[in-house]
Amino acid sequence: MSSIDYLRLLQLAAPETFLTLTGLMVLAVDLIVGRGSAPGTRIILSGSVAATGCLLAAGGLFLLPVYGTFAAGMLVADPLTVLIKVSLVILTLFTVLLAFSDAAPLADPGEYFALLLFACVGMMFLTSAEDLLMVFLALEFTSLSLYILAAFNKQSPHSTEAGIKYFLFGSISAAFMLFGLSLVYGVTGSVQLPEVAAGLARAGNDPLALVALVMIAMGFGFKVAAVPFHLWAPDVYQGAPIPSAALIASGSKVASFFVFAKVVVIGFGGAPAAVGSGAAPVWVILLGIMAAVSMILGNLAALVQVSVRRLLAFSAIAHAGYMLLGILAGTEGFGPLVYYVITYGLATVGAFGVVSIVQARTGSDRLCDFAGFHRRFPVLAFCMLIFMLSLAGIPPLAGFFGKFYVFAAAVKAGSLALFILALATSTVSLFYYLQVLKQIYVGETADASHWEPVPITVSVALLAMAFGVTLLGCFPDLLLNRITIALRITGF
Amino acid sequence: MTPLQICLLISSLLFAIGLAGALTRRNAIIVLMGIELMLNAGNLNFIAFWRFGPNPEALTGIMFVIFSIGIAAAEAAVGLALIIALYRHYKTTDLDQINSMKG
Amino acid sequence: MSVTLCILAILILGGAGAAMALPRLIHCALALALSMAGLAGLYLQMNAQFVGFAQALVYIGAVAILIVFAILLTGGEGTAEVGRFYGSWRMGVGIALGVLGVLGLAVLSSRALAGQAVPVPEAQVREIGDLLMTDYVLALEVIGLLLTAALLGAVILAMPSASARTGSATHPAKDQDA
Repeated sequence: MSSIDYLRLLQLAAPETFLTLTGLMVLAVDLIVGRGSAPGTRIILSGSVAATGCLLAAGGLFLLPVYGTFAAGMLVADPLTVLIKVSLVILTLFTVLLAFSDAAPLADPGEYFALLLFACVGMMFLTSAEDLLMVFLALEFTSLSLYILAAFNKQSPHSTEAGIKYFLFGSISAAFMLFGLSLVYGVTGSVQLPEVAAGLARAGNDPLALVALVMIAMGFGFKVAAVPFHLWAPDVYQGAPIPSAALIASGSKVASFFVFAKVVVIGFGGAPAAVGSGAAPVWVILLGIMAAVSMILGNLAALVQVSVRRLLAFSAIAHAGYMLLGILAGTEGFGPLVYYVITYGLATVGAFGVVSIVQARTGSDRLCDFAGFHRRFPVLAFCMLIFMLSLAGIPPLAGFFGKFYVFAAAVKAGSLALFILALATSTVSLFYYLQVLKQIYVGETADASHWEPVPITVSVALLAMAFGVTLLGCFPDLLLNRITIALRITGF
Repeated sequence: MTPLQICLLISSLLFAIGLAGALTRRNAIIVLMGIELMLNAGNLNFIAFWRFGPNPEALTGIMFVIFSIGIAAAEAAVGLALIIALYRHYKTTDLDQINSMKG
Repeated sequence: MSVTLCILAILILGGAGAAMALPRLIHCALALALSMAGLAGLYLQMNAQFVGFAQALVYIGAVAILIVFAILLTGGEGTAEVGRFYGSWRMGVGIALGVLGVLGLAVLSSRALAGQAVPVPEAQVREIGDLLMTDYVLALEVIGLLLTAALLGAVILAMPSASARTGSATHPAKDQDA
């Protein structure tokens, strides 16, 4: 029995611990100071505590990173995971700021912000897990928090419906994942990723190992909303409170894709070719199909959506397809994938922020509600322009370079057919993003009523995100160099 | 058949029964029960692999199951709370009638 | 040994089948508890005492009771008779059978499981406790957090909303602003 250095654990998990304590503090502040004051005050009060906590945690992670490993892969803090954690905390910070808007009247702001922070903590643990027990545990922690956040607006039947759909689909996929993990344990005798890789290589193309990999891929496929496990996404994106939907679309996606890629590259890397030698491993074929169908179905379905939030959901499904290309490219695609998901998360949170402004003032998020947005809030309309063009992949915005690097890695890895498909569907996607912009800039509306001004925090957050997307687009090396260096240190 | 294979067949059957229930029953509570059965099938696998596997001293299977029992209980609590919230809005737990968003 | 195994298998699978097929919700919940009891017995029989007792405590003691409460709170019995299954139930059964077929084939044809005669392993509670405080201490903390979040969320979701409680008495119109 090895003795454990608890102080070391505390150092390594300091950011997570700090955010957890912040979450508890938000609860306490809301309980002690907030009770009895107006709902608006309570939101500002507990939101400020949560935002300050995020800011401090991100700063601490960025300036004073601690690297090391705890208990053989339970918690691995290396430059790469720290980078991902910083971006997760920043995305959560923006989500918290979005909640300052009055789009969804929050009955219990203290609990809401605490759960947002807990979800972020779950994602951070997920990022640094290299032990399948910890992966499952952190994934479930994140998911449970997100189910609750999706259903949080109890006055809206849509929100509850979104929550229950997310929960049912999520739990079924969690059960598939647990079954797959148990088979992996049976075949390899371990749940630590490096040993799993060695065990899978030993097992050869044992049918049980193949079934296990397929079931785990299904579990992750749900988390990242890839077809055919995407059915929950449109309803959740449409029905959940906007900050929750933004976190599900951004942070959850960043963490899930990162750990998906890690499990595939480290864990399944040992899995050999399928029966019928010379063919690609079975999970490569599977992911290839998932990627192709996601790109086609996501982009085509987005074309006919009226609700902008549903449009964003189908665009998210399409993007999941592109991101799967990065996973398929193996180690080569790891860096581009990380760059892609981070910039995608930033642009998506921004887009949800603009939708929340419109929804708070018109009561819905249909395309036609965006008409005349440009005349009312020219600066925010410009921010939306940046987010949409970045999602569409127009240079010189960050979305373009994300796609560019991922597609390049895919070509290098030899999946030419998927690359051509991705290129073609990207062109299609331009159409529906422009549809939103067309409404904003030239849409005609008879409604000339005065709209309430946007809360300052929301405007600042949106401007910061638009600036971030532009900056990372003009100087992709700012982020990409860090990723490359981190990858080299980590040894990919 | 070895005892291990028998255990795995039992768990596969349990998983399939749970899945069939989750996919076909319209009542949300039963769907939740089906999900619990599926999770339990995974747990049974872990115990069986621990019992008959090559490396039982590490107790990995046992530890995994202890944690996963905790997770499944938390999931049941959240799921039932969601179902109660759902019932408050729709006055039913029939999933077939709950489709207010178009798509 | 095989007689006990047989009885337990019948208990587990029969309970599960009944829980998924019976028309009345309360019967389903009881059948589920039966199935869980069978699983607990199977764990005990495989010498995993701690897990067996945890299974009995958590599933029969907590989850089954919780489900019964949920059935009562949602007035469960009323909707049971008409249309238990979706119209498209054949597809669901087909998917489940497909999964079962794949799993069964994989189990039967796998070489990774071939005959290992191992001594009966022991899982002492003391060792489990030691592991929980050493290698698994982080996992223990994370599951503590998970349960906190679940508790918080379950309370929030299941509680009638504040405006419905206080507002409906004084201004009944106010909670329509969703």
